[in-house]
Amino acid sequence: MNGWKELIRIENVVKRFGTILAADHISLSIGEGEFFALLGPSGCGKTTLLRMLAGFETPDSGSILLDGKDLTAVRPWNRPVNMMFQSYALFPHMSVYDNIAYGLRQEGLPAAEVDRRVRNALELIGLPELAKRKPGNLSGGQKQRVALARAIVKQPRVLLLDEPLAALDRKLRVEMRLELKRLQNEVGIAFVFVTHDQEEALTMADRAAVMKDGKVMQVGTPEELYNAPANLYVAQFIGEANVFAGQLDYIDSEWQLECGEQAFRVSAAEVHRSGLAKGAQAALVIRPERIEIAPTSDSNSVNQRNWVRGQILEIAYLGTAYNLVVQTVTDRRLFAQIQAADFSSSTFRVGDTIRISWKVEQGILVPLDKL
Amino acid sequence: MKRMVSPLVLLGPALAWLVVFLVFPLLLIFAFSFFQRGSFGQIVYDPTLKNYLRLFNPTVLRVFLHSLRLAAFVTFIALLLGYPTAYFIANQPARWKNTLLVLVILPFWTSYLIRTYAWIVLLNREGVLSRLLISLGLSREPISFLYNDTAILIGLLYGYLPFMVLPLYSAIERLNPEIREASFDLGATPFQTFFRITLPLTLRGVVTGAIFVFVPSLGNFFVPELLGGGQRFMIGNMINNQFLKARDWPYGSAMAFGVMAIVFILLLFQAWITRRTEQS
Repeated sequence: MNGWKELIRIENVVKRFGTILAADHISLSIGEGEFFALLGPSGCGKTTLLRMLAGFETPDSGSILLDGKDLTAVRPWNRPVNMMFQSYALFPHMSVYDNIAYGLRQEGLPAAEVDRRVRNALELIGLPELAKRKPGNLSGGQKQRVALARAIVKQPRVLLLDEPLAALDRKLRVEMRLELKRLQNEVGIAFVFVTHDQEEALTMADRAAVMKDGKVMQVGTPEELYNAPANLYVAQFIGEANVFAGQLDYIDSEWQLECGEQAFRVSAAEVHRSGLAKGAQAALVIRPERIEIAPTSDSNSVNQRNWVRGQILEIAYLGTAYNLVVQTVTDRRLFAQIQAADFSSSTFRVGDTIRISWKVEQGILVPLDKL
Repeated sequence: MKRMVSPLVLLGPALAWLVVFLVFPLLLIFAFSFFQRGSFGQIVYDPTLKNYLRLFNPTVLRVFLHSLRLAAFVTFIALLLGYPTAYFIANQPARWKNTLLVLVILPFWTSYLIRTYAWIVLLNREGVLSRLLISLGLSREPISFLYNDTAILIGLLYGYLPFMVLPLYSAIERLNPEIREASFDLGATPFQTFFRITLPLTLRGVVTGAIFVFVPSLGNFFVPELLGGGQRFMIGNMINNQFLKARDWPYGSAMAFGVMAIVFILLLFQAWITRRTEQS
């Protein structure tokens, strides 16, 4: 975030569709040249927010500023913002060349300038030989690149991308993540993209806003969202999570979470970070890959560790790791991911009773969301 | 696996119907057009091209031209009225679309002929329109709106407007709304977007609708008969007269094929447009 400079400021934006609150007092800042993700499940308002940035929807209240200037009343065709649509929305009656040139011709640029920039854009996406093709004769990946070129060629201040990879098959999707990242670096334009795929957001975005029911739940870098979620919703939406809910207590100068059947120790740093006080309802979140397992016969020290006993229900081999589903004595299901090197399939079998443990400082403490 | 139903079973009945009641009479008429009328209106089987040459006499050409112009005008007005209508319906929420479409085709539930009689009631000297103008003080005397080209135009437009709206609706409805938004996004105003994106992409609907209106307008004979009062002639009336009044079937047949030639050229044009837009 070195040299971060604000480009877009969204202030208290509210948008209603009938009885549905698609944007509930959203405030956000997006920096120049930043790769920013709006992440959330369908219906969380992320697409509405993107469409308000493009000008297709007008906020009921609040404002959207670009370079400090209020954009709220500016019509889509006058905004220095371009969008890549989920369906790509290429003009089917025009060639690839004419599609990319469309926006430049609207600006009334001289033909030579249009030609130069269209050819540059075709180079940038690596498809100069397809200039004369009609969109109907392109593959999904090619269409996606053309849609991207058509928006980038206008040199907008911000490029908006609506589920840019959703229509591609899985292998191409993973490739395109890197490709988009490379392109964004090359053109230096701020990218704001909408996705419901947390993996996509984590791998591509510099920062992401996690949304739910028209509200922003947390804004942060992928690491912050994963390691220091602000609430249980974010903790569960980003990555896998084992959750223990209970009441926070402070006993014998140690913090712990009383979960009824058991109490787990919580690090003081996490209590401080979460801002929770003694007596608060809270949840302890353990990531599956932070969990370690041992046979119950193992008499190694469990000092400075939280642990529970459980029975292995499933073992799935993933190549680099094993995924385990374990049922605890209190009938709770826990997920553990163990690196292949640390796992011995002769020691651990389905049906075995094992000891599951994690270091106290690996536990993430979040407020228990009010329902 | 069960054998597929033979195409002959599926298509046979309709095909037989068309052959007996369309292809066969057409061939008959085509044959007649090369024979001559006897003195009592019978057909003399003496081959000739005279009937076709007679199409080029000034009176016939004038009626042809006048009919073409009137049908073209009806088509043009239908397009001007039909496009906004279809656009409006296509952009309504799903639950309204069907209701509105039913309203568009509602007139088909009554015979076109009867509905044309209704227009006489509306347009004649003692009619609804005339009385309305008098009661509003816009006219002192009763006015007849009947028996001129405008009356024919109103009658044809009224009858064939749904044929314009339906294909336009299906073309506009198929358009991905994101395509229009993409055009706005790239800097085109709604006006520019309409002429560069929406209209070219719905051209097939325009051409189809235009043919659906133009062809029956050109051949219609009862609207000019009823609303034109027999004063204003169209091709349909002329053909009708040849068959029923002048009893010159060969000449009437030649005229009918003259009209079909025009229609055929239009269909070729439509096929060409369709092929062009289908490439995308």
